[in-house]
Amino acid sequence: MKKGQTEIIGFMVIILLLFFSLIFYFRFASDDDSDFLAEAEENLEVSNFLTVMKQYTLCEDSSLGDAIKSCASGGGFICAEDSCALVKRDVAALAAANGWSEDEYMFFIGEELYSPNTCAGNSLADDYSTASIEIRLVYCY
Amino acid sequence: MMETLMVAMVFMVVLVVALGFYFKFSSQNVEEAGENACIVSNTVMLSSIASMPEIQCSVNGKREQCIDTSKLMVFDASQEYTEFFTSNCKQKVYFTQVYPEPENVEEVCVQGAYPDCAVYPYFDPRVEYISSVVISTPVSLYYPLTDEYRFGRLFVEILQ
Repeated sequence: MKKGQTEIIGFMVIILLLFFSLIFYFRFASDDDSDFLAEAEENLEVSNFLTVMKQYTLCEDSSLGDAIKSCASGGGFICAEDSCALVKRDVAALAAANGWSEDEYMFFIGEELYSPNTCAGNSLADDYSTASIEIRLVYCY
Repeated sequence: MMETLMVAMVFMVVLVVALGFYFKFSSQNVEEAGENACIVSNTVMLSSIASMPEIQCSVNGKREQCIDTSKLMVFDASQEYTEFFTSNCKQKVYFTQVYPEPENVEEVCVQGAYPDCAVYPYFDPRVEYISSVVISTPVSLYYPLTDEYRFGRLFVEILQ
């Protein structure tokens, strides 16, 4: 092989390597952006869903937030039903309506779990306090 | 001398082809970045729409984190917010009641059907489009006639 031909092959290899490394760089750079966006959307989803839960009307003059507060304060009756039982039932109903399966979320009043299952993996959470007890919603994905 | 010229020529050809691929790839990236910027701005918009004073709940001047459906029925966003919704990219905005599930999930809320309806149109640019990307977030829908809060979703459909 002549010297010139060897040089051409050398140049081509260098250019191809540079070209493919640029493609990989831009591809991974754009993936980071979409991950960030998806996480921002999920954060908004969890935060807004917790607000919806607090305000949701169960019966005249009583919201799910009232039932959560009553349950956190040791129990009682809301809408002529046990407040903790109401919380369990209606949190599950709202989560199902939101398209979450039972192993995709957890709802805690203090340390006690009020959702059907636990979930694992990456998670996002939002919380608030009522009756000096932390109410926490965790979404797993 | 001849060999050097040949090397230079082949090098130039390879360089031009590589640059051609690179610019084609970068233009695709720019398009993707544009679409991403549109989705980012609309994700931010999901929060800001729910805070618009024209449709947000308020009790004695104090704002609450919910959407007053009676305000949704009378407020025409196309009169006030056309520029806001179409400056970056075009989108359709609407609210739906999710739970309790309405009898007819496609019934549009107009005078006469309210409050037993499901879809509250908010902004529609009325343009033709090939495809769309839908993003949404939960919202609390308030019904002042019955003093009731229901579970709804705010949808932003980005038209392409």
